[in-house]
Amino acid sequence: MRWFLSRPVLSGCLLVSLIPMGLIPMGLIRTAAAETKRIFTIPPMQWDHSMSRDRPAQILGQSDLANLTGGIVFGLSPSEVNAKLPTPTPGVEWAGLPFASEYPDEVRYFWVRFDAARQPRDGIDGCVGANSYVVFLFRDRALFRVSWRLLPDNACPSTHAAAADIYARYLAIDGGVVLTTHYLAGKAEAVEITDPNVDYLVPYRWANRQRR
Amino acid sequence: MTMRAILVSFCCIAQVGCIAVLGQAWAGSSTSDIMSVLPPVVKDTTKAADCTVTYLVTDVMTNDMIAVRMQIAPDPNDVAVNNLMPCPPDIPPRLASRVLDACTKRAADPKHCVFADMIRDFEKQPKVDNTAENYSRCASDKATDIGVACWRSGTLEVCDVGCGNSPGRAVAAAVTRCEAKQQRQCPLTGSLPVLAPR
Repeated sequence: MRWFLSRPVLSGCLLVSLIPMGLIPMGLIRTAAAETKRIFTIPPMQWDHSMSRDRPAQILGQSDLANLTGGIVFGLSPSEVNAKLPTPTPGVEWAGLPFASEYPDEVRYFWVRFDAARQPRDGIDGCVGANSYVVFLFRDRALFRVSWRLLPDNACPSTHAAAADIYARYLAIDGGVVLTTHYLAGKAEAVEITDPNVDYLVPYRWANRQRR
Repeated sequence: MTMRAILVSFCCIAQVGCIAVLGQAWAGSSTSDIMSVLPPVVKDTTKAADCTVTYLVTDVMTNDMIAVRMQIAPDPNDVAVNNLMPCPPDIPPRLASRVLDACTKRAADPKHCVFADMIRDFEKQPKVDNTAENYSRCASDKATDIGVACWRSGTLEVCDVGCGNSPGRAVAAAVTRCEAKQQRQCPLTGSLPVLAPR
């Protein structure tokens, strides 16, 4: 006990184990509350022995993506994506879709409310805000990006946990078949999965007009 | 020969005939299996694990921390110790560069990507030059787990990394390093195995 009290700084993990046992009297030491830091994982890379070349250690394909999205994969047309939603919207066709102005090319989109997408709630513990939605983006009539846009509200002041859950879900298959990104757009959290083959369109991001 | 022996003989002959017929049927169907379905990939989980060097990298804007596992093929002369292949003594810069790519290609701004082991006063200049690549990794022949410990400077999480042979020891090593470097308590902690699940 004397050893602990004589140390100017205590390690967080020791505090976690000792505080519940009552070994550190309250008021003697001020300590920050211990929290768990989330660490995301991506599929491993395999290098040769000379470490000159690398490749994905696991082979992942479109079926792995389809398993997570309910059959929605890159390359589908707007009407094909719409048909795979639990409640398809009538009249979704390429010619009738609005332009996504943040892209330099002709990119069109349609969106659905978050709860209307075939996004399994399993594994998403955080709240998402009532106005959160999912955008499907198309170039040359083919899906190249899905964007989850999580907007906080009074009932859900932070959508960070839900965004992290979605991010972790798609990072697990990240690699040759999908590129997963997470960023802040004003008060909103955005998680996107993108076809890695769209090259120059990859860096373009949603510019949320409702800034912080 | 008794009646029982005669019946047993008939059963044996019938079974051999059935097996022969079924064997032919299976042989016939296996051709179409080969044509239509790829054989399952069987991984030998008893084989010694390749060296894995696991890094932690962070996007300082979102505080997303990503573990990047690099598996390195063994030299033919390498010998496994405790069912683990040895890791190379030196890691070339290109490997660390590829690690950082894992963050930069996902970040809104590539400049937001840093290694997870940060110097003191990192919060004043949160850039990759103020992080230690060689302390942001653990090798599978030396440690089973990689740990991280952080403190919050406003919205920014300032972290350091440790290695250990259990999740608790890896976190303890990270906390010790973080508290020594940062001169603060580092209550935000996490860990994960160095080896990828097999």
